[in-house]
Amino acid sequence: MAGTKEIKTHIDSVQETRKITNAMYLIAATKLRRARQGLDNTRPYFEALRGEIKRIFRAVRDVDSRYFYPSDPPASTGGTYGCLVITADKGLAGAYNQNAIREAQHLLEQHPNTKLFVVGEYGRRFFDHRNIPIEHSFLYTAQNPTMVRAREISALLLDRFDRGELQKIFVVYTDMENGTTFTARSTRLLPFHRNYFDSPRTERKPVEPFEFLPNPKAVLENMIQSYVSGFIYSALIDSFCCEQNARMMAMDSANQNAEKLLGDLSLEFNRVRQSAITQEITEISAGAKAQRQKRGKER
Amino acid sequence: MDVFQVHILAADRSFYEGPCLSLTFPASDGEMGILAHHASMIAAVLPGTLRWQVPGQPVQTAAVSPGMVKVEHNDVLVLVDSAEHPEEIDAARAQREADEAREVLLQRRSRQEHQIAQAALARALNRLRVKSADQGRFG
Repeated sequence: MAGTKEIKTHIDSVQETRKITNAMYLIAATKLRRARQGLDNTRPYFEALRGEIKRIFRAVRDVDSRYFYPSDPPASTGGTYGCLVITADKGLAGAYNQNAIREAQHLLEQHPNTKLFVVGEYGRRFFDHRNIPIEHSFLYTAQNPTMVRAREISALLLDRFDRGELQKIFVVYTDMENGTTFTARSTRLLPFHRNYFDSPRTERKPVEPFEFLPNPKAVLENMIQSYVSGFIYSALIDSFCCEQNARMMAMDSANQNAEKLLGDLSLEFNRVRQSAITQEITEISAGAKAQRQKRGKER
Repeated sequence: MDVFQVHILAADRSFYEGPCLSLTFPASDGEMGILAHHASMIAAVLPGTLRWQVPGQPVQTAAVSPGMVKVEHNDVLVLVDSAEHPEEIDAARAQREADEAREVLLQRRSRQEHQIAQAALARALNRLRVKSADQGRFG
């Protein structure tokens, strides 16, 4: 059994660790709140944008654009795909990173000819370590998703797409389904499926025709670019929220573990101390008894 | 003059919602104005100055980036990537950004960097223009 000194050191170190995990918990909670705020701010814009794209589709059926699948049967599935993987910068967030990376690997298995675009230090290091080539890694951190970042990412992806280097673009991100559960998802960003923007049949047809300036295609392409950066922005924020949430949960359970460990350790500490005292008393009283017996014999 | 409802939404916030007398936005072939009871229309917005007048107030301006305008049933929806009031624009920062973008354009970098720099330059110049027009009005 360990001595009191060792147990004392152990207790101290657990307390120090708990301080750190507790601080991380609080930091994650604050960041989560801020990121949620950002997501709430951007939601009305994003939903309105999607609604308008839908509306244009309803108004003009035959608009053709490279951002959409042709209306005739889809072309072959060959060609190079691009995949934007969003991970965290650091670990210590439960299974958050692993889930996103597993989703990306799944995609890679299905279509080996895929170029990776990685956001976040953790994902970059993971793929580096396994010698999986990364086409581009966005070196600025996943810590602070802003519209400017999203615009840069979408400019890069759209540029490749426009030049035909990428046939399809996927995004792997983590989606918060509700307050507690989140799942890693992979979504095809480009090209769009017409059905994606198609409205349910019940929605009424536009009453009066719209006038398009300068023409439907130009308006649509202008909007698609905003839509792509908006989508990437919300994916970044969504992932960031999930990361902070996962970290909060991981740190919470670390706190609970530390609590439990401290309880066990202090129990053990008391027991060891008690037994040391008991032993000392036994030794003293045994010594005293021996002395008394000795004196008794002398008499 | 008749009033119509306008909703100006930027990517990071809801910029203005409420009644409006007239709205002018930069379109692909020059500026375009909207008054009440305009015909249904969807138009692309280019980076530039957005002007609108709230009843009983002077004309307000904002620097906007690309997006779209939709008019339907006397209801105008403006969706832009970003919108800024002149007083929110930091002239020094915009100037710095414009200078940086010009420098990048001078160095012959990759096509994609060139495009990004060009867009940044357009945004910065647009901000500066809106800001200086605003100062000219009050100063």
